[in-house]
Amino acid sequence: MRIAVLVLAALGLAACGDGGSSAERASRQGMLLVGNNQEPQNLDPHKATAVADGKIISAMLEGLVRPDPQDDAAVHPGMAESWEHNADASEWTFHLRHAQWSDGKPVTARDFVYAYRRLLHPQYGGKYAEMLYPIRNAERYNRGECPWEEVGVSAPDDYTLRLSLGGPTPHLPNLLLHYTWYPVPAHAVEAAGGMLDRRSLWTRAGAWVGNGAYVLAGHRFNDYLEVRPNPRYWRAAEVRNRGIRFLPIVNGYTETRMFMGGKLHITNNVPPELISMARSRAPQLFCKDPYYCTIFYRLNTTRPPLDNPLVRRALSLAVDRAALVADVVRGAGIPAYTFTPPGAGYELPAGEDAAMDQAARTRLAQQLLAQAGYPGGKGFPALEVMTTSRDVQRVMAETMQAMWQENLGIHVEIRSCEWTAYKSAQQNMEYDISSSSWSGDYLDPATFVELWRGGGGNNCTGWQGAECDAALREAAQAATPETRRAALARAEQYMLREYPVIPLYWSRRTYLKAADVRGWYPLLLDNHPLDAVEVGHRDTP
Amino acid sequence: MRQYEQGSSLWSDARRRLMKNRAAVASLLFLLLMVLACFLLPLFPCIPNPNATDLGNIAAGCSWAHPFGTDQLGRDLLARVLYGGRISLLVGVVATVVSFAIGLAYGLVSGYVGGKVDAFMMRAVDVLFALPFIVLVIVFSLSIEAPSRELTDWVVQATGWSRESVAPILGLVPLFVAIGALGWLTLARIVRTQTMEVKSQEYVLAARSLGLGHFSILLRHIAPNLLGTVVVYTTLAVPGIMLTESTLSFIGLGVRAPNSSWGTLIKEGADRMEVSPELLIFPAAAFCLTLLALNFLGDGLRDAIDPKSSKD
Amino acid sequence: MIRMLLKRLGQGLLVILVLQTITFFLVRRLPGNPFLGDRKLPDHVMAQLNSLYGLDQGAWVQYLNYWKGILLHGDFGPSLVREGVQVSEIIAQAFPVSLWLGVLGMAIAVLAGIPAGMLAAYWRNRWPDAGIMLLAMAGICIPAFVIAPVFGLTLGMHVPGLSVAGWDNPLCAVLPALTLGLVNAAYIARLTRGGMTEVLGADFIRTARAKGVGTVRLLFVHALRSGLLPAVSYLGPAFAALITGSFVVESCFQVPGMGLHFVNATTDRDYFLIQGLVLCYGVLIVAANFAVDLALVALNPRLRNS
Repeated sequence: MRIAVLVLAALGLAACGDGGSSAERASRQGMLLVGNNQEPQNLDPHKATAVADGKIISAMLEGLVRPDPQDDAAVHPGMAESWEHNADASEWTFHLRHAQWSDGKPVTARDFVYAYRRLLHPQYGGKYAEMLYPIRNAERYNRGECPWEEVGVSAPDDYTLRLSLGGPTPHLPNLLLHYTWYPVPAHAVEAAGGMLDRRSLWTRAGAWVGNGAYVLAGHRFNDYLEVRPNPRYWRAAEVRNRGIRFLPIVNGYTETRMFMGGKLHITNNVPPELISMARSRAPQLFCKDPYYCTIFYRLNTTRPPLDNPLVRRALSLAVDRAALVADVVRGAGIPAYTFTPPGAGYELPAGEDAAMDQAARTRLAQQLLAQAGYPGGKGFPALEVMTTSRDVQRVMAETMQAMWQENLGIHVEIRSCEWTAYKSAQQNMEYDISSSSWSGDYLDPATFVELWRGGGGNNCTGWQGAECDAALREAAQAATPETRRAALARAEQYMLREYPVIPLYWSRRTYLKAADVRGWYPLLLDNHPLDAVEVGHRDTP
Repeated sequence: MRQYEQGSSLWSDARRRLMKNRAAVASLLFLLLMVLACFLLPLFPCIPNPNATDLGNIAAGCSWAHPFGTDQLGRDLLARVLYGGRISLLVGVVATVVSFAIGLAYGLVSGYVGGKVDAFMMRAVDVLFALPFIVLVIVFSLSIEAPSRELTDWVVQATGWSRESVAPILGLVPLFVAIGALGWLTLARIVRTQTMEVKSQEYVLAARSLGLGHFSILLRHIAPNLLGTVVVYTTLAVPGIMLTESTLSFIGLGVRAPNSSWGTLIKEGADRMEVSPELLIFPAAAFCLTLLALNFLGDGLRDAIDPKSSKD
Repeated sequence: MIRMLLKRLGQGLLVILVLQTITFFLVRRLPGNPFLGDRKLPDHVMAQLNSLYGLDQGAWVQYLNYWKGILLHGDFGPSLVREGVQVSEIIAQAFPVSLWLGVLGMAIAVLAGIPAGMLAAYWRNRWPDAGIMLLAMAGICIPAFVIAPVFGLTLGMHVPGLSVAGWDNPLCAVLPALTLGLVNAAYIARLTRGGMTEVLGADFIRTARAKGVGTVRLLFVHALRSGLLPAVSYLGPAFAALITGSFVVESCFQVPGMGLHFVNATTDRDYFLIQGLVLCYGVLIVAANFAVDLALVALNPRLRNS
């Protein structure tokens, strides 16, 4: 009986509401409803690591510079009004503007120093501390090998911040866009438990203090996270909407259906199977943007027969990337023969493998395999491809399996794992072939090429090359962007020559965007400054 | 000796009654046909290799070459449904029999003995029930990895069969253990309740006062009275067991891609239902019809072996 | 009676203790750890995190600390993935959602399932029986991950007021509750039919019928009591499972309930959260099974003496 009454009451409520779908109602209020892939793990920039967290943090905190809504490579003055650097770009001075935190306290250079010290503090356990390693002695401090005074961060006065870097870093402004470089409100963090308290509550709704375009207004786990404009933001007048609701929708099918049902303005991802449907049903709303992300297979070069570069190249050549992109991910990618996606003025020549047609590639692959001692795949040991349980990864592995079987006559098994088991196996190199992806943290080829530094934590293939390492060292010392890019390109080419990985394609983001959303442009890094996004029809009040 | 004759007449009565039930007979025939189709049809060359991809022919609708159409990688769906049926039927039968046997025995003992033993056994069921299944399965599948690889190696060496043909079937063994070991909990509870009810009935009391042993009371007087409920519940549990297999496949226990089972086919079809509904409809139809037939057969069996209906 | 209650309470506590102990050591045998991210952490950072949360101590020390936290401070531990959030906060937000959905779903299941099962048993082997059982079998065979999107795409898209997915108005509960309800209704209908069939053939029903007891009275008063036994045994654990949430339904309808946390906590290795959720589930299972045992006795006096 009570249930019936409740249901009736609910029906009544819905009937009395102002009608229309959730997205239409939000549009009228100027609220943006954004699919944000997963429940944010942390809003503290020193604890966050997930992409979904970064998007929310970027809406609520602002660094020295701020991004451009249309161009990833461009930066605008943010907390820093202006900056200058020495001749080799290793000493930078930032002049801060007189901005306020959302509680009215001034944002000073000390907040930046405090933030960098906190992330790097050896007792804090900052997961992304590595992002600050360009600062001189940052890594040594983080490892507990030197006192804080030796780290190249200083604040000569409240509105001047000086960064001394370990080497020439002409691309520093691009790094500064990442949330690890943002300031935190020292007074609020201290009040909520101090610098080193990982269980600090200053990021909760109600306690939140920020300097960005928005402040935290409400958060329910797995339901929504809402931000509202920050009246004390220095560009408050230029914020184009009245708030944002981030919806943590993991399931891409659910998300796409919710968009079709008028529950969202912008989705995070249309799964490949639904692309044709989304395209035909909402041709103007379907977006396919380039993305700074590479999909590739790691090969465990410490295990035979993958320790043989001939075998690795044969495996790479036998993969028909064009078919993979067209039929498995339904066009959501660009076939790749090099590792780093083009962008930031960096693009590697595609190389000889890309120049051949697939038939020639397959023939060459067969020859190489025969040279390695496995003619026609005879005697090739049973290898395992490890994937996560995601549908698209399994389908891709099935395709690769069929291609290798058909083109090389070798049989690989597919092992699909649950997420953490997969990560753990990959990082401990307990696999033969691992289906992988890498997306850039900032717009610079180093975020991809640095992966292949010998002994680097994210290499996970066991491969290393002295020439590659030398070129990477050279890049770190290069004073001009051009010489630096050239050195990185050499490092990548050394790596590609040895095939520790099979680059498959550069991913493209497929998502849906409602017709009344304006000011949202394709961005390689997908870090849209949301204050520039407008929603609702202009003629409605 | 005399008792044996009585017993055999009970079963022959049951068979006679079952054969009179048209729905049950039709279901039995259907199941036989399905089993034959899944296990024998793929031996004929007209059924293509279920794992042969054809990227030029993706999600093509029904045609003479592909009666059920093709899937997201251009593989013949009919062949995949038939091969998937092998796995699913195997899982359904083996895992169900295992959990049926454990659940029946456990529930009978718990309900019949009663008292402290019953309390202990039922609380143990509570613990097992509340344990997080996925956690158990992941830990289990890791610890079983090495032994099951050794088993495969041993079989390959001993029989000389190719690894590709042996591995998919042997890979199911840990799955049988995992499902069988935890699938019996609800059945045990149901059997226990029924046992408690039956054992307090007059004829059981009479049998006991006649001096019959506990074992023969359980076997001859209590178990037959439970069979009806047990059969109905077991047929109900089969779909759940078959679908659990697909969930576990995705975290690496059970059938490995590119091999299919009905559960994995239905899951893949469900993800694509807006675009190509036939990928969902055909495997789901095979699955549902089989289970429907199983269920009618179960009902028929229940009616046939019900000792009370012999009075009719 | 009170002695029996106390005895069951004691047994229940024992069950919870054993359950928590097994879970504690089980989750630590899962591969990986809660701090594993997309990118590999430097060893010194990993070591620092482990020591901050006491995960570098011996398993038994950790185990004792865990109980100490619960018993002395009522602290179920921190989430290791959402650092700064307490396990109790997460459960406090998610449980009411799952409870509400579970109660709705169970109401649908019982209200649809039991009458359907009774009717089917009454008209056994005739067409209403066949029709109801066909429907029930469909409900059992078609998995929730198919039913949920079908409901979303048909009813959710086209019936005004209902929504495809999401949790932003009260009507959002309708489709997930319907999905949960129908699957369980199917089971209950089957089990009720089985139980009722058994009873309707029993001597005391024949006697009652011979005495001229009306059909309705016969069904509801005489037969229902023991006819419900199998369904009631099923209901207890099913109800506990229902109000602790279903991952598939929550993921298809974007419901912020316990089921999502259960699966995510496991894949993220959020040790204390898994522990807290299992505790919650365990308490419900124990309570539900106790309630079932009481209900069984009430339905069937013959069980009372055992």
